[in-house]
Amino acid sequence: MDILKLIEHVPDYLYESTEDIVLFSSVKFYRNLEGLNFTPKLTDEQRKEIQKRILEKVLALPMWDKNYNIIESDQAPYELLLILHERGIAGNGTLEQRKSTLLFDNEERYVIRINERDHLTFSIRSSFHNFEESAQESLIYIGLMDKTLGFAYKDGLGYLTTSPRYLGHALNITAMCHIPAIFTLGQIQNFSSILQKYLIVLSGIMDTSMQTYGAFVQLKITSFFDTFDEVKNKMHSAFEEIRDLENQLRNIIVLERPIEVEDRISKSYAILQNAKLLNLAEAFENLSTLRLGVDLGYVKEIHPNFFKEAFLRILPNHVRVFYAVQGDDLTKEAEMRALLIQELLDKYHYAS
Amino acid sequence: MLCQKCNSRDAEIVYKEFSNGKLITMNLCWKCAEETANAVREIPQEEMEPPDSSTKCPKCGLTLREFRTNFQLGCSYCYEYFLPFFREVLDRVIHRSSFSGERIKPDRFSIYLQSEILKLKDELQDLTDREEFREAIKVRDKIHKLESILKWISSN
Repeated sequence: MDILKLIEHVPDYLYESTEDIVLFSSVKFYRNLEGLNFTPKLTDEQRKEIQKRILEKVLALPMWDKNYNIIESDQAPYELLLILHERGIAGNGTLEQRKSTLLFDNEERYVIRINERDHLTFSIRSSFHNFEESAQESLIYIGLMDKTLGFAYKDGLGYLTTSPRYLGHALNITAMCHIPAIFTLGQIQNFSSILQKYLIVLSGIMDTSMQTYGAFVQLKITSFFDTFDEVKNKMHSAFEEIRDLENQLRNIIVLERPIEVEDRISKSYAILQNAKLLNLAEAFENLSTLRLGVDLGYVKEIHPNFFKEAFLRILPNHVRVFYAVQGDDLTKEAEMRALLIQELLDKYHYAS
Repeated sequence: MLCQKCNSRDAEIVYKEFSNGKLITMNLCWKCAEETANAVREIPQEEMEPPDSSTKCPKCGLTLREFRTNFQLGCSYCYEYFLPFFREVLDRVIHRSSFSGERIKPDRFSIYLQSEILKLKDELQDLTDREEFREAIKVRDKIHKLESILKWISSN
């Protein structure tokens, strides 16, 4: 697999998004094959047998076009796994143990992890306006997989997963959101109460346990004995409330603090255009503020796709591998990130 | 977000507790939530665990100690064997300890797929009439995909 091409590629689920607040969403199912030990208690031989069985059945499903990728984590270069981890394709378990297999299409929409924490983890990612469609699609595929593979299931508990926290329909739904007005106006209390009401957890960018940066947050709802429809409805209701809150606060910002907000946006824009060094936190902080400026119409010359490309490409390993940054040279990484952002600003500037 | 107690694992539970008339809210990992819930009820550890925490699942050999350390089970049978040790935690932390849904069956989507295909065919006709061919190609591909799923379901 060409790592540099992968780094430069912006998947459709990011590009398709037309939303200001929810950037993309994902539905992820956790499953184990009936009658076999779960991953922590598998021998290498059993692991290979499971991998073979899952690949054979899953590749026969009508979801793959000609282009898909199979990565065996024990044979893949570590830098490729780091990139796949930042793109949400490999999980922490793949990086730590390197005993899993990854299967994904070129647009990174369908992602299957075999033998990571469970025998099979299947996720579908989509822009949020396609969420309902991809939710239905995910149910069809996971149902088809159950029919051909036979998943461990028990009445009263649901699908049996390695960790008991996923019982029920054994899934989680996540959404990557951008909520700068909530952060700017310090409305964290109202935001937290929505999260608590629906048992939503915040996680890092791309679901890799990384810290949250700027006003980009990933919201996650886990099944906890719920059915798919219950989880989906909770997520819909939570989004409605978060979207309403964010939009109300954006109106307040525009009406009551136009100078302050314009000042912040201009400063962020200037930093991104001129900085020589940008660490990850600084880059996301300023991208977040600039994106608010574009959303509110203060900055008109930047195409929104700038943010979609920058969102993945400024991540630490993306920068380090693309620019061949050696060792733990953080200064070089920050220098290359600043340069990359400036190149992307040029690329997505309407005048150019 | 990291667990506010151990600061090392991911926070996955919003834990609420009334203490001295105040509502305390913490974002905790599963393990710390379990420990906190146990501490609040002041259940002596020996009541939660059998006398020998090296007790093993007869099928896969996972010990209770291993389960308590990683909160991971080794096989389907572990659910029967260790359930008494975490059902109470599930009850208290997520206020639910059983599942009332059913297995996801692909057959139930045939009707959904058929109606989606009809809708998309109408959309394709509209787009073609308006000469919006780029969008029409996308819709046509979507129809092909749904038709192939439908065909797959009926042939399997």
